[in-house]
Amino acid sequence: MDRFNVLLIEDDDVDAESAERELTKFPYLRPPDRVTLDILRATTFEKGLSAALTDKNIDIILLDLNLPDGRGLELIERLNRAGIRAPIVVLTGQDDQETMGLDSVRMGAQDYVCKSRIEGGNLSRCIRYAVERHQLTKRLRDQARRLSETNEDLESFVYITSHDLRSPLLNLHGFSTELANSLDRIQSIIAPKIDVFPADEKQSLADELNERVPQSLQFIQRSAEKMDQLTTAVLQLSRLNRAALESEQIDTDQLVRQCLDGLERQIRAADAEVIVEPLPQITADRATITHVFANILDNAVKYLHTERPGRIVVNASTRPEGTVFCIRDNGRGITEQDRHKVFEIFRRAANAQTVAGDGMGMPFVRNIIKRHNGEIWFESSPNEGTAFYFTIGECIEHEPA
Amino acid sequence: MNQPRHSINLILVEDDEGHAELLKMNIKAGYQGGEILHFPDGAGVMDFLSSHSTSLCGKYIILLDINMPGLDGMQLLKQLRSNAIFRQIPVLMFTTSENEKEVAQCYSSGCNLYLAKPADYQTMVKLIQSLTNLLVSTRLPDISLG
Repeated sequence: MDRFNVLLIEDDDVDAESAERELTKFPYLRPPDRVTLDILRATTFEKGLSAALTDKNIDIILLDLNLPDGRGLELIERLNRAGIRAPIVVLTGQDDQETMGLDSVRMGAQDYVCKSRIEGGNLSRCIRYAVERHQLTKRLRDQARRLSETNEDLESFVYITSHDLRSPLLNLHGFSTELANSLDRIQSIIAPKIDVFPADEKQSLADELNERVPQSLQFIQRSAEKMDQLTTAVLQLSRLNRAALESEQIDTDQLVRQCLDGLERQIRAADAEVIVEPLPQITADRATITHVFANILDNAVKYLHTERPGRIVVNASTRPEGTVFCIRDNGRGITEQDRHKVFEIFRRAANAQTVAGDGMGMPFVRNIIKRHNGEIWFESSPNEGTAFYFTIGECIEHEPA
Repeated sequence: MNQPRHSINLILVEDDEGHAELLKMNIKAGYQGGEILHFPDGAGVMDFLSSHSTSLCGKYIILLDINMPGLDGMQLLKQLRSNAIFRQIPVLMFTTSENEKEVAQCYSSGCNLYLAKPADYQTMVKLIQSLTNLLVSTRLPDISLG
């Protein structure tokens, strides 16, 4: 048989009796079995706090905000600060239920109920929902924590793997270069004496030394270089993902102009027109948000159409979800098949073959936006252009997930 | 092969055989000193230095990889620097990591020079040269100890 433990912090005996009556009339029901109700009464806040600290099995705290040794919302704050984890339902008076009540919930109480309205099972129902909500919240928090731990493990794995791959890669690269040098030395010895060999052997030797071996070596070296590039890129991405973020007020107009200054040469070369409409200030990590704007702008310039004057527009609009920044170009656009590659690491579009790039930029940009609790998406029409949209959330995750 | 211009020997502490071989091959050409001794771990180096302690002065330079199993480079460096005789041996550290904190730690633990792997061998030869120049110019006459 389960027990349901209620801590009732109420100084007024009449109010306390009425609450206890209501609770016993409609006890907390968990179908199909009933539970034994255990009501612990505290007449002052200090007594209530001390009971909550000593008894770890309290299922719900009913809190009157008008106590002899404390009043108002600060009581909830004090329970929070003491680390009390049990859900709180606030008992309000007739006059202050709407103001106090709502504010209580904002401070962390699960619900509030007016003392004159606890009859007819109201109190019990209120308690039941408060407890359920509390359990759901706890489960969500546990899941989030587990997810964050898994993320950390994954990050660690990626970092260690790419880091440890550099050692054998160094050998691969170093010794294939050494082989090429050895080949040179062999050739310089053999070349002057080549006529010692009969014609067919001479041809064979020439084939091996001048074509087959150098070609094989070249393939090995190129592969080693490619592997090196990939692991370096992954390592960099991993390192950047683990860095901590800071918040500051940023003049976005100025930041965008800075990025454009850095792209001046490319913009002139592409004969492109860049329009920046007024942008609101944001609170974000300066270094990474600069990177976001710089990367998207760089792409916008890079992927302009070669056959028409380029036009890039940067603006911001206020939507219900917050400020949405938009960087729009009239360039090549992204085809249907390539859409999923945009945020995938190392994947680049088919129409990007003529453009330099390592396929690292956008995945990292998306990670930055996510860590700023924002969203990023794009719209595109092949041959017409692309528009990237992103939001920046109100609170940033300063430490990596 | 160049005629040795000085008799300073290199002690290479590197656990990866391939890296050690590459290093030896690539700096031999530019190195105008004595032998290149290779140790795969820190313990062997300490033994060697201890058994040659009377003739160490101004005769060795240590090339030290940080990431080694067992006694890693950083710990070895600290052991060297806390020894009255060994602390005078110049140390050039290298590693595949580029962690700024690690680099700073190397310097504050007492290394003389730091280079990232993969090493530009020409740069390494030049750095070794600068260390040997330093040794030769500050070399005291051999004093026999006890």
